[in-house]
Amino acid sequence: MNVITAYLETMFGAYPKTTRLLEAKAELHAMMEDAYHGYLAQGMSENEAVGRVITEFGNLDELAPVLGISAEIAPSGSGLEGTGGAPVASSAPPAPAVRKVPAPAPVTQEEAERYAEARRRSEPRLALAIAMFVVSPAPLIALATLGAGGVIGVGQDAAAMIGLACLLVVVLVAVLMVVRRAGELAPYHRLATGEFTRSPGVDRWAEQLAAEAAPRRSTALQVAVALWILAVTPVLGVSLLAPPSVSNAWIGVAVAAMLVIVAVGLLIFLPANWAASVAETLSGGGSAGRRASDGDRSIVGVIAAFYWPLVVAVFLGWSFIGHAWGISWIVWPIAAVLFGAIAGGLNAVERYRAAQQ
Amino acid sequence: MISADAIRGYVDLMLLSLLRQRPSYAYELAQQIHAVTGAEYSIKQTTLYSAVKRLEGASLVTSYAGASESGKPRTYYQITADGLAYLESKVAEWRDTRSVVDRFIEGVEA
Repeated sequence: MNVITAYLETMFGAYPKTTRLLEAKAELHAMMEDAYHGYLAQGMSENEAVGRVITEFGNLDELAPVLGISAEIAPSGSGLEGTGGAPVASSAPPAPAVRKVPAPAPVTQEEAERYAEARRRSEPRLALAIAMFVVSPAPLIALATLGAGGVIGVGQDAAAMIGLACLLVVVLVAVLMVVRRAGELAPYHRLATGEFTRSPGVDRWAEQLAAEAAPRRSTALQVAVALWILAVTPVLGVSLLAPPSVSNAWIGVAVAAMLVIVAVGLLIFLPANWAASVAETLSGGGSAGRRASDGDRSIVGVIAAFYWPLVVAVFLGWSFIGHAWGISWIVWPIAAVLFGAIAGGLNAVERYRAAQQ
Repeated sequence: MISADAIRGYVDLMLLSLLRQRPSYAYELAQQIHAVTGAEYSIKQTTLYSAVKRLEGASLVTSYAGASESGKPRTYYQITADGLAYLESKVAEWRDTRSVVDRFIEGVEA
């Protein structure tokens, strides 16, 4: 409940407390409170209900003509206020030019919601594409070593050809998915690149969004890190427990299994990360300044998306070029523990900062 | 999903036709609108509030202080005779608008 009160305080905080303004605040507060209790009665959690009520708040610009506060609502007279709704004819004289370049248009609630929705829909596909990049060499590795070991009735060259074909197809499909997602997010380019002015309402909403998704995200991260640490067990098992004749042929299958486990970890974690990532984007607007704590929120997701394909590349490069299959598996436990340390460290820093505030 | 821009001019019409039935307060109006529109349009609280205040400013509705079942103070809105007349003229205008636009979009696949 006090989130709603705090939200309204933030929204109205910048304006003089005229009778009409206080009246508007009181009535909007009553509406939001009624809506909040209505959603609770429908069986929503407190977080969901608050998020929903704030989503439905709208835009303070709309109230300006009614409350006679146009000048206060648009203190900079930027003339860009109309982007979110109907164009509001602003008769206020332009404010003295403080900076030469006008501030970019503020992000509106509608735009933010559409962006969040697009991210929510497209994030599982991005996760799948990255997982496919990681898995793509698996058939090649498995088939090549099986073929060389004479376990399957296919020669080494034929097995490598089949594996290579699989790799190319999987990479191609993954690239197409990434390109398609980029196309879907293209309308929100200015948000992704920070060419917008933050607005307190959208900030609050985005924080709420991230807070709602946080428990799920942290569970997903824990499961994923556990998987990444365990990913090395098939390789260790085959190379340490099986006799050399068996392990030479089956080590490729073990490596493939490891890649699959790493990919499953990515599939679990990345889709759960969208809300944090959206909140980070929406609080990254240029002119309102960037708060340090916001930067860390989704960096774990960014790292995971680059880190694991990179680890695969290092592992494969080292193994193939250096013919170091016997030792190169060591990359995995090191990478997994390192990732756990990075994620844990960032979370600890974030908690420390939150506690300071 | 109807965009806020597309429906903006008709929020007054929606509110007045709801208030024609009986006096009501902002949250109830929002709920009634939601019950009719479902997922196709959800009205923002600021849109609703600025609309009723605009109508009040134009003397198309009047407000009076009431209380909820739990005794919380609550502002009720009631349509005026001017409001009823305005509603009738807006309804006629909407029928004309719709008929004109329909004539243009006939045969357009959507």
